[in-house]
Amino acid sequence: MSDYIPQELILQILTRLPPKSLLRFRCVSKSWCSLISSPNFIAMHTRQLTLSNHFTSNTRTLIRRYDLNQRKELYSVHFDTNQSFNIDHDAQIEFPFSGFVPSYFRIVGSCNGLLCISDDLLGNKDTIILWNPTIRRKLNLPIPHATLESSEENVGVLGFGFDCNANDYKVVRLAYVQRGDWYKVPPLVEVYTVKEGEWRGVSAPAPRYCIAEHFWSQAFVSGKLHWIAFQRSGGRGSMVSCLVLWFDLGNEVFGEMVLPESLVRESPMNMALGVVAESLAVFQSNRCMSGRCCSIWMMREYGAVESWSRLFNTDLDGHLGIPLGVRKNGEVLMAARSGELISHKTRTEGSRNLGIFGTKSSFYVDSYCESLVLLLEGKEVKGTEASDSESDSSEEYEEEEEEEDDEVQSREHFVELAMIQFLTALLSEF
Amino acid sequence: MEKQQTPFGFHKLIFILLILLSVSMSALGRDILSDIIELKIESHIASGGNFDSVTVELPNLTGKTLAKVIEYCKKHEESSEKTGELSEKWDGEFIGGVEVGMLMDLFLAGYELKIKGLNDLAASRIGGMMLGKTPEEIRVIFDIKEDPLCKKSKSPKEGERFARDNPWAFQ
Repeated sequence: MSDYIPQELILQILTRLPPKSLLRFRCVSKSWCSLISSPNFIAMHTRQLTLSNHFTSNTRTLIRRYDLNQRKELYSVHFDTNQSFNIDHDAQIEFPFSGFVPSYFRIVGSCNGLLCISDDLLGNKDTIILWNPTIRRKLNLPIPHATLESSEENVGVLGFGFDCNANDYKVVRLAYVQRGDWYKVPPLVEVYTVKEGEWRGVSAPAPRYCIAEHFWSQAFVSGKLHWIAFQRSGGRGSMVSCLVLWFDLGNEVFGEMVLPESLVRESPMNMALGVVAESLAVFQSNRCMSGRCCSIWMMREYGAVESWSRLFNTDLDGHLGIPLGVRKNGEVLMAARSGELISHKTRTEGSRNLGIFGTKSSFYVDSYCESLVLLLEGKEVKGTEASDSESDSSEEYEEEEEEEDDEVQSREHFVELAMIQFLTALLSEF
Repeated sequence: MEKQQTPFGFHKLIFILLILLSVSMSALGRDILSDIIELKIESHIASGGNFDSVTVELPNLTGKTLAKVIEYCKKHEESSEKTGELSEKWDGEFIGGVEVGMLMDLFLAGYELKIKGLNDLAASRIGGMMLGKTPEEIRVIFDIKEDPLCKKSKSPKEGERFARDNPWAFQ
């Protein structure tokens, strides 16, 4: 029968199938194998996936947290429906890089089923990995030139997304070096692309803004990467004002957008960028806990600054924590200070504990999809692996790990406190 | 099932339409086929062809398949006239009720007759049936006889490597 089914039709069917089935169906025949393993098919499959994600209401959400009992990062995929937030047991993700760091990775971002993770959160070692958990492929990025070639220690701010014109995944790194009581601007900018396989500079001028060390986050929307950036409005000792800095992955240029007025003077470490209903969003909360206000802003029409609108605003009753994402039903997912994920409705209707526990800063929420990306470029991830090149350091970590049970939690707490103090001093008026 | 090439002139076209009428096809079924034929003649003429030797590729449909196609089209025309929206439930029952061979025929018919809804519906159903199946079962569904990668007798290396390297994908 397959003899008379045109290849176009075989493609129509195969592009609808999940990656796990496709990996298996490479065994069906030689022609199926070469079809499924071809770059064109993988690109088509990924396009189909983004299309169907756009149209189906059946969305899935990825949750990551560091579990204190099991002492490792846990990932779970949940069906986000109006009523429930049930686990998808078919999409089991085993985190394979536990040996790399003593605690947990920063998830820089995710795109088309690919995660970009970095170990800079609690101990900077410049490990950046692209990881497709569905097909268990990974790609270790080389050490950036800014780190290799300079004696000055730099702070890296990363961004990760997809350039649909070049059909290529790109990681951008802004390297900031501290100079006196401020960062040196502009930072050194480097781009890594999966197709090129190495870091290179960009020709466009780098932005003259700073980004909050440690607390930065990025969002990939409309083909652009976004960060909360800040600058001194005047000279030394003047106020700091915040804005959205973007980098276009297609033509590789920087640009900026204004924030809602009430956020311009907010401390940059109190703001995280994210995506809500495919729009750019700002999650504002107070790290220092002195204030309790928490809000979510969304740019309804991309690029139109007058379309910034406040989705959510609440006076936290102390026990709520950091907003992480917005569910399909409008409830806000938050990491409670107690270390539990909660789904918050409104102040009057209260919130619901979801029974997912982790250290409060280790929570990560994103939409989830499955793809074949990295099938050709990536290396197979086998079980739980320690660092390939840095086995010495992982042993070192193991020793540290045995010292105390809640070592990760106290490290998280300590690093955050130190960073808050450092940044507060840096940003405050003299 | 091979594509048929049927050369005929205008009088033959009329003749075929008469046959279609005589076997009491529904009005919709006639429309579909005559649309296809008209379209193909038009494109033939437009590309400078001779009207006396029009070649029309007719999808080789059995009466049973054609009846199903017509059932689908009729329902969709009715429901779009009435409510403006199509019944997903009806679609599901319609496509869920056919056996594999018919499903493949409907898939092909949807493609050949450019009925996108039917084509998509059948593709989704076939995709759904393939979930959780082993490569051997897929070979049966698609009637593939060529070079099975996983069979131990023939070129075992690559197929076995896939199974060994990704055991989780084969569970």
